[in-house]
Amino acid sequence: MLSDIRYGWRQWRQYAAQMALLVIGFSVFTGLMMLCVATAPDLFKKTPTWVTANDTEYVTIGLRSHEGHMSQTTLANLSTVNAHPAVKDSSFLGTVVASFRINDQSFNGENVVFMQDQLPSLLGITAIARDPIQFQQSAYVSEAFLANWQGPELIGQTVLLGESETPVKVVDTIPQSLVSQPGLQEPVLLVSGSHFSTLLTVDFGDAPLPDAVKARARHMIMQETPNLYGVVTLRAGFSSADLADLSKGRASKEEGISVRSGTDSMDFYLHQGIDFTPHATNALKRQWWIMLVMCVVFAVLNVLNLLTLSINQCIQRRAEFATRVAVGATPATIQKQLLLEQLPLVLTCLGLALILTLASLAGLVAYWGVHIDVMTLVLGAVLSALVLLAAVSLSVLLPFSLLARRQLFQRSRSQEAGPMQRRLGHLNVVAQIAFASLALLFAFAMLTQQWQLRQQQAAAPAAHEFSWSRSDNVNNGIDIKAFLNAVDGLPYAVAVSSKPFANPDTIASSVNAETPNYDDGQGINLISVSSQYFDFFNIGGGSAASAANREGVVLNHAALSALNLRNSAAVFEQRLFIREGDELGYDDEQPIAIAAVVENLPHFGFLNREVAMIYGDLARLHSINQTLYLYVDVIHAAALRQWLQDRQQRQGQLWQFDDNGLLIEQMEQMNQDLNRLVMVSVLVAVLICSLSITSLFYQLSGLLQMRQRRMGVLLAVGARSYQLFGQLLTLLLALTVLAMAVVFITVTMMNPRLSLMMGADMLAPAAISLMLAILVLLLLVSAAVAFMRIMRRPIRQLLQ
Amino acid sequence: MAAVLLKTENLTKVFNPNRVPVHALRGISLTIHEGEFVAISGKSGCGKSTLLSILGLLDTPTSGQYQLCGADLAQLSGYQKAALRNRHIGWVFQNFNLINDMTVAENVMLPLKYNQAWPKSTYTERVNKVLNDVGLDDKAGAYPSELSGGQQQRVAIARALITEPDILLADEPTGNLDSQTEQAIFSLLSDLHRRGVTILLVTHSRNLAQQCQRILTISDGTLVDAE
Ligand SMILES: Nc1ncnc2c1ncn2[C@@H]1O[C@H](COP(=O)(O)OP(=O)(O)OP(=O)(O)O)[C@@H](O)[C@H]1O
Ligand SMILES: [Mg+2]
Repeated sequence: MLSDIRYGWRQWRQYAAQMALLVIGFSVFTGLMMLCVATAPDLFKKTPTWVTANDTEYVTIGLRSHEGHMSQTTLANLSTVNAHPAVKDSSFLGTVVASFRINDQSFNGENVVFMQDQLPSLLGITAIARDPIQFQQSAYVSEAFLANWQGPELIGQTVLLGESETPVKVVDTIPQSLVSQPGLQEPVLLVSGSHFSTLLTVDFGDAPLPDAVKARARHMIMQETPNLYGVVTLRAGFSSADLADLSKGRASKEEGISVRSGTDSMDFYLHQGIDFTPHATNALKRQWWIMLVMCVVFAVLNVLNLLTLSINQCIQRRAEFATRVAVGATPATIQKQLLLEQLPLVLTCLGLALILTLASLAGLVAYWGVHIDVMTLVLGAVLSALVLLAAVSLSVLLPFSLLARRQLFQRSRSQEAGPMQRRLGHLNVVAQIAFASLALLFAFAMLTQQWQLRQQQAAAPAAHEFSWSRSDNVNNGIDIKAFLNAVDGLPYAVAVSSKPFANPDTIASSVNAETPNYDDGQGINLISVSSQYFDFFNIGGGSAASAANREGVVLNHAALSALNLRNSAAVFEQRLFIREGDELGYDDEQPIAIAAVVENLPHFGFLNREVAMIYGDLARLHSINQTLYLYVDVIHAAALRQWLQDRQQRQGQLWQFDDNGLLIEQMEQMNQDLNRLVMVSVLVAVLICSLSITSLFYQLSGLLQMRQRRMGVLLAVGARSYQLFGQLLTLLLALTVLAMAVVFITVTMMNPRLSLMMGADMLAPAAISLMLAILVLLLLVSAAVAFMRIMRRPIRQLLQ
Repeated sequence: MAAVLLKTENLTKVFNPNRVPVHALRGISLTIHEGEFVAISGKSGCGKSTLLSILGLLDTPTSGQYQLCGADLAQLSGYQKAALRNRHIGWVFQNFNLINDMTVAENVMLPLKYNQAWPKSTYTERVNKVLNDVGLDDKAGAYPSELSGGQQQRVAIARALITEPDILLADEPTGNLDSQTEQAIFSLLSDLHRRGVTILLVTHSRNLAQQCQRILTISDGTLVDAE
């Protein structure tokens, strides 16, 4: 056995280059696989891994926001849920921006997490006091806060919460399991939910209100501000679907104090399990699937590479196998020997993969905030090893059993490979070409996209962006008309929009021309803009649009083609029906006129295709619950900043303006993210491509080796080398055509998803032609080199 | 005296000149005339096959001159050599070197594909003729693996004859065959010789060598005596 392994090692040394390739490929595969396995439980369990009970018992309650995310809900809503017969028990967890004091140091505007007293036991967080009284008197601080703390030992100190200075004692740091909940934004302090009202900052101004009224107002604000997520457990026999009949949010009116939540129009968001940001989790899951796909890609690639090697070996070692059989080996003993020979490979790969995985775990998992326990990691390693062994066995034993079945041992004189082996070789070449071209196509698509972004960035206007928003939710939102009037009065041009210019998360609404049939309507993004917007951004057709957009909506070219409309006078006769029309200030089912058509704006930074857009008039909206974005030429930025500052001071604390800086800087920032993405994609693509091209080269050499005696015969009877090379190229051409068919079918299928996810268009003519050029070059070079390696030998040797 | 078909001057061949050099040929000078039937004999490893493959343009000499059909080989390009192999040389190997996934007829036809001298319409006719010559006209559709060793060697001879070469080179054509088949193959070669084909035959068999017109004996890479 040991001698088999040693013999195998000697065999491997002969194929050092191929061995190195295999080690790289298999290590990447094993690393990815271990990562996938290790991160899966936390990602796919609906409750965090540290909660042991059944997923279906829990429902997380929030509000459905415009973008379809879950946002925080109110206590009032939670008590509505609590009254539902399906609910057994409820609890909540929330965040407020609050102030507190430790000794003489004051902290303002810090993120404080509060959780209801029974939540720790509901979730099984053992690190937090389970006794409610004890929990109410305790505070937990973040690691970062503890590390930055200067002064006497923090643990044991008293923290005075809010204006009423309620005392709690620091007992420990916040449990890791809570910190890494994606929704909770780096809390500084964790306290009991009984301090919620204490933590609320309410500005009553200078109004001389009686304390009782103030207390009641504070209580109502606490009931109505969306600061928290609920977690409920269900009674036996109920499921999350039973909660779906809960009504929408409510408004309440009491004793002359009017409180509106500002989220009244939002539905409940019910999420089975415990997850405060299911949207973020879904994004993680998407990344996980991408990783798994990569893992499978590498697995297939590796099996193919190993197959190449073992086919070649099988052919070269035919005589050796025959001799072994002649001296008494059975096919089974040879198979055992072949498997043992692969052990050095498998062990090297596992070792390298372990290093790779641990390194990426350190980085990736910290970034992802996913829990991993050692047992799942070990499980991942074991699973990867099993897959690796299966792949190795498959690819080593398949060519051998083909050889054995054809009983070529008895006729070992014949050097020609069997047709099955040749077919296997051809299949391998097709697969390698397909992989290489897919990888190249992907890399070039990413590069093309980046190049386009660079172009866009160059075209970005020299504008400065400010945003103007409410800092709380207890109001009617911004009075748009008044605000726009004020802005119009400024002595310089200011464009206003409901979404940011760079990378806006707009609502893609179903839109249809002629009939309000939304089922097959296109998803088109909606934005409300002020009338100066198009002029300001210097858009073709902009002046007309600026004048016209009070009459109807403005479409860009992409929206026109999405709706199958042509840019002619007739288009203004069209009426549109927009499902989310109220986003732009239109009623349901209201026919909307097309007022103008503009060029595609350059502002959708990371998308390489022009995004279909419909612009409404901002003035149609009476109020807006979100932020407004203001754009001004850089030379007037200081003036506008001053104006907003004054306005904020006049309107009080609830209003807030932010200086978002130069647009071009934002684009650059986005570009950096993209750069990283492109770099990783190109790196992966180069890795895949070089793996498959090198393997293709060896497979071609192998195919030629199988045919070497045939080539010798042909040369002996007078064939010329170019005729033989022509034969090789013809074969390669046929295989390439086959591979291209596979590639284009695959790409056509996955391109829509990919361009949504990564913004890369794999069917872009530039990407396709670059890919074809490189591929042809690589194929020609590897075919020529492989051919020369055979032809270098004298014909006499080919015939032996 | 017949015309000179091939002539070598001081041919040498060294294998592995960079590692442990093997001097397979140490200066061979010989002349073969049209219509001769020559046997090359000598101990195993003395360089017979090496000499034959150089004469048949399957390998190149390390030094020395070689003229075939009046052409100096040193001056010829690879393509010109391929054309010479195709038109003037027929090869018969010890291990037959037939292509297993081609039928007998296809194997025999192979050299014609690389030869413009014969129009396509005459291929079948020629194949039938040479197969008839070697006595295998009923096996045209068979595959090499379905034939006996002797039959396979006849196919190889038919393939060598199809372009009507000036010289037939045979490296131990009967090495894998029993003595009865050996004699049959040899008679076939003698027949061809009588019809005017020049034949160079490497053989270990004293018996066969003595039936040839002339015997060249090689010892350790040199020609010992030309009879
Ligand atoms: N490719 C090669 N590399 C190194 N040495 C070689 C090579 N081919 C032949 N030789 C050496 O050259 C010498 C002559 O070989 P050759 O094949 O011509 O002998 P031979 O006379 O045909 O022997 P046999 O009767 O056994 O066939 C031998 O010593 C052999 O070891
Ligand atoms: Mg020999």
